[in-house]
Amino acid sequence: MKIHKVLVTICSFISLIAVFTLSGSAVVESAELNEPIQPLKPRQDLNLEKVNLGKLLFNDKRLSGDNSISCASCHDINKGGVDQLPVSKGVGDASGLINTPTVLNSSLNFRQFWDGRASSLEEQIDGPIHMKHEMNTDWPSILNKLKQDQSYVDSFNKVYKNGLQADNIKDVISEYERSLITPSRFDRYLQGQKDAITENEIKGYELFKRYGCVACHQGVNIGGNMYQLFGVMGDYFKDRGNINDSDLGHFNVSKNEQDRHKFKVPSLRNIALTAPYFHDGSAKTLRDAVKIMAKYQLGRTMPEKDEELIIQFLQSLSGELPAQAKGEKQ
Amino acid sequence: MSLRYFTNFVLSLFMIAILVFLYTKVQSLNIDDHYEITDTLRQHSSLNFRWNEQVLKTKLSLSSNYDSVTNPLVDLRSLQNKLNTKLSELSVESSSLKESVEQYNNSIEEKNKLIEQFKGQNAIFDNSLRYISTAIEDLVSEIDSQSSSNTKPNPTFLALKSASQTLLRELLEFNQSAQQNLAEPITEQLRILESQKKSFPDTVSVKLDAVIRHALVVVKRKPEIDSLLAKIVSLPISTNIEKIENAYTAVYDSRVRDKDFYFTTLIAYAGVLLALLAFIGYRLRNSYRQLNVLNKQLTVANETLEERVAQRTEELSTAYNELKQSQAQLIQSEKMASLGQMVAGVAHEINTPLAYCHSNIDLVKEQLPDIITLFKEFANFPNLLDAPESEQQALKEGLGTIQEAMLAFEKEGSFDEMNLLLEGSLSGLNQISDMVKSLKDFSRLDQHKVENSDLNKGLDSVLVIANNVLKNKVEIIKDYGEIPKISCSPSQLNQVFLNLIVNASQAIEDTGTITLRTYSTNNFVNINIEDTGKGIPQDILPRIFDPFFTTKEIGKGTGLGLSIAYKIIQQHGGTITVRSEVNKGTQFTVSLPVNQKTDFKNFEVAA
Ligand code: HEC
Ligand code: HEC
Repeated sequence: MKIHKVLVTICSFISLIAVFTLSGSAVVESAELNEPIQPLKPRQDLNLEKVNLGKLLFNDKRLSGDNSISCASCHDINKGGVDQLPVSKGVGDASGLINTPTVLNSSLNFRQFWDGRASSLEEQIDGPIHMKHEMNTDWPSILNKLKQDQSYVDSFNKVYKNGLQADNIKDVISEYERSLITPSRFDRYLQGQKDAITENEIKGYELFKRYGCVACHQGVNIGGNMYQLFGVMGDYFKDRGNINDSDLGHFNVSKNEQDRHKFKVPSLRNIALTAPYFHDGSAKTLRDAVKIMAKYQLGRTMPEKDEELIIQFLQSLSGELPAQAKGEKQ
Repeated sequence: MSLRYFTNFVLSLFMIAILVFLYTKVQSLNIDDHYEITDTLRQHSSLNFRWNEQVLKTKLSLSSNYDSVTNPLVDLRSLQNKLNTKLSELSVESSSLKESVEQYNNSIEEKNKLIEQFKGQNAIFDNSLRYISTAIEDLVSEIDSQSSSNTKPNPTFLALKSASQTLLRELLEFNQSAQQNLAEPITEQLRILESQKKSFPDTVSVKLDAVIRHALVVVKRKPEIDSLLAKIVSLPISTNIEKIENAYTAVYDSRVRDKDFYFTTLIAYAGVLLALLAFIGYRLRNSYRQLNVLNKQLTVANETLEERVAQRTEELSTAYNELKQSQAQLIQSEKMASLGQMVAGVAHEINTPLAYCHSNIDLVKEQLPDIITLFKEFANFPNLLDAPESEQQALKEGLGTIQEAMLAFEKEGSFDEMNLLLEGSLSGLNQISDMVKSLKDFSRLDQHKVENSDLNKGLDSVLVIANNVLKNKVEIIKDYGEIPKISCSPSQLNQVFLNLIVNASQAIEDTGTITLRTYSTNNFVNINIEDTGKGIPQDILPRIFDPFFTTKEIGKGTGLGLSIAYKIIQQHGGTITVRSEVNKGTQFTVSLPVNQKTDFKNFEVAA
């Protein structure tokens, strides 16, 4: 026991010393090595049986109360994983409260939902299932319906000891979502293929970094790893007006005043496909979104030329789904 | 016996259960689990440390994205799960362990929250800090371009220029230093600039605005970030891990102590069991030894057994032979007894004719000298006739004598008498010869030859033999039916009938009747002998066919009569039954099969 403590302390010291002695040279290197955006790599460790089952269920309308919509109804894999509506539409055309985020690459987000209330994909699924204005059902009724389907029963029995269960349904859907990884031309560029994107796109990327979009939209998922205030450099909500509950963001989860209007920074992958933008669906075009971002998040005005280049860069982020993950059109 | 087995069984089960219990207790302390837990705790420490490291790196802008600050939480969560499951697998109620784990988990939550805040703050701060130099550069170049268009240098512009350049320097200094008090003058400066903003042309004031806003971000966020970092670093993470470690160690130590205890107990118990086993082994060996001795004795006994058996067999066969002999003697004596009876009867029967034959012949013999005299006279008469001297006198005398003798004969009727006497003797002799014949009929004792025998005749001959016993006392009523001849051993059956008849007559105290009935029923010949005697008491009735059972005085009967009769009838394939009523009489019924297949060679009893 004592030895562990000593070892840990020694290790800590060594690491600390290493960090601080290396930091000088690291600054120089990090410009090259440490790009704020890291290339995307598809997951290799997935259970294909689960992925396929998850795909079926993701497209299965029996997961909604009146059998009218599936996950894919709002998250159309062929449309960037969204419904392309300002706010989602649930069963009986019930209007939702918030814009539908994409499911593509969402497994890379540190938390799920705009306000980050779900810590995992599995946890997330409970949301739409029960939401009145989304699928409006519950697990017992879903299980009742699915148990009539022998092929599901058999498949689940094959994969799980306990067969068809709510947890296992969540597991397969999540596994399917984990397969929805979309490497793009830009990732190939990051990996060294310099001609994978155009000159303008490269320029756009440089601007994206220079303007400081990378302060928030960085990492593998170009976002999705922190909460940020929407309106750092100006009061977005005051300017927009008509504030509702979903505008409170992470505050709804933490009830902490500091978290008011804080949102999970969304991933910008496939951003060109997922208009309209923002949690309120207020930005109809990418240009609108970039403008708002520049103004409220960076406190910058942007020449139209730069906007254009950044948009071009953002378009290079639209990726390709792995073959087995492509969803059927519902 | 089975109860003892059962208790033994339960007892051994119990002992095994104790052994298993102790063994599992000893085994329950899995050293791998222990290492895994301590290893997990170590990983917690190092992961937390690395997380801090990443936060610091981010703070120092060594890292340009926040994945590295975000992802450790994912690993930490799975480590937490691992620790929780590992500890819950321990299944020990240790409140201090639970508490310390809870404290640790809480501190991780706290840390995560702080780091989330740090990420948010730092991203903006970092961005503003990066941007501020550009913003000030932009402002300066704008001022410059404004100034160049004016021929006269504008003193406010120059002041703004130098102020913004000072601001940049101060901000960079502020960023480098840990001193909080540097914020005050900068904030003051910014307030002044803000108030002057309106006096500048739009193009300049926009740039100035950007500078002020970003500078404000830097000034405001820096202390916040610093305090966040301080909080993050000062979180009692390692203390909490240490607490877990200590609590766990306590649990582990007590488990080790338990284990040691159980181990010692196990050893002791195993020792006891071994001793017990040794004892049982010893006992077993002893019993084996005893068994061996017994076995040897047994083999010896076995070896001698044959001899002994042979000897015994010999003894037995001798005894058997003796028994047979004595039985044969008994039977013989029984035979002799009945023979004696018979002989007595027969002698008596023969005596009477023999006596009058005797006297008759005596009488005839008395007549014989007269006849002889006569005969002599006659023989002399021719001589007289032939004598020359012809002595008339002598002749006359001779003739007179003959006449006299003949007259005497005639007078006495001697010839008739003699004739009668001889006839009487002849009939007496006939009687005797009849007697002898029946005797022969009866007493074919030694011949077992089976023949077609008429039982009625047999009965008659028996009656002749028994006559002596019966006459003057018993009236015999014969009620013979037409019965088929049967193959049998007549002498044996006669013996049976004689026995039954003699018994019947003996049962009759004064006078009475014996009724002999013969009749045939389907394939059976029945002989029924009924007397009007005193009857046989009910209590001895079942025993009358037992050998040596007798009601007669000692020496008067062998007690074998009825048992032999029973045997004989049995060997003929027949039955003998008895019905008796005290003071009324007894009735024996012998039933014999007409076509019996008995092998008479086996007729030993009566031999
Ligand atoms: C009625 C339309 C609708 C349906 C049906 C629907 N969703 Fe969503 N989904 C949304 C909306 C709206 C949000 C954002 C909600 C929020 O953040 O509060 C969302 C969020 C998500 C997210 C979080 C993405 C992120 O990056 O935060 C995931 C993952 C997701 N949905 C998956 C699913 C799955 C799986 C199903 C099927 C079980 C499903 N959704 C069904 C509308 C829908
Ligand atoms: C201070 C952090 C921050 C910076 C800097 C920032 N963003 Fe954002 N971005 C956000 C947040 C937070 C949202 C989500 C806002 C919402 O919808 O509530 C967002 C949303 C977006 C969206 C819409 C995403 C969607 O799916 O609806 C786009 C496009 C975007 N940002 C682009 C940019 C660009 C381009 C830049 C640089 C000019 C930039 N952002 C700079 C934090 C930032």
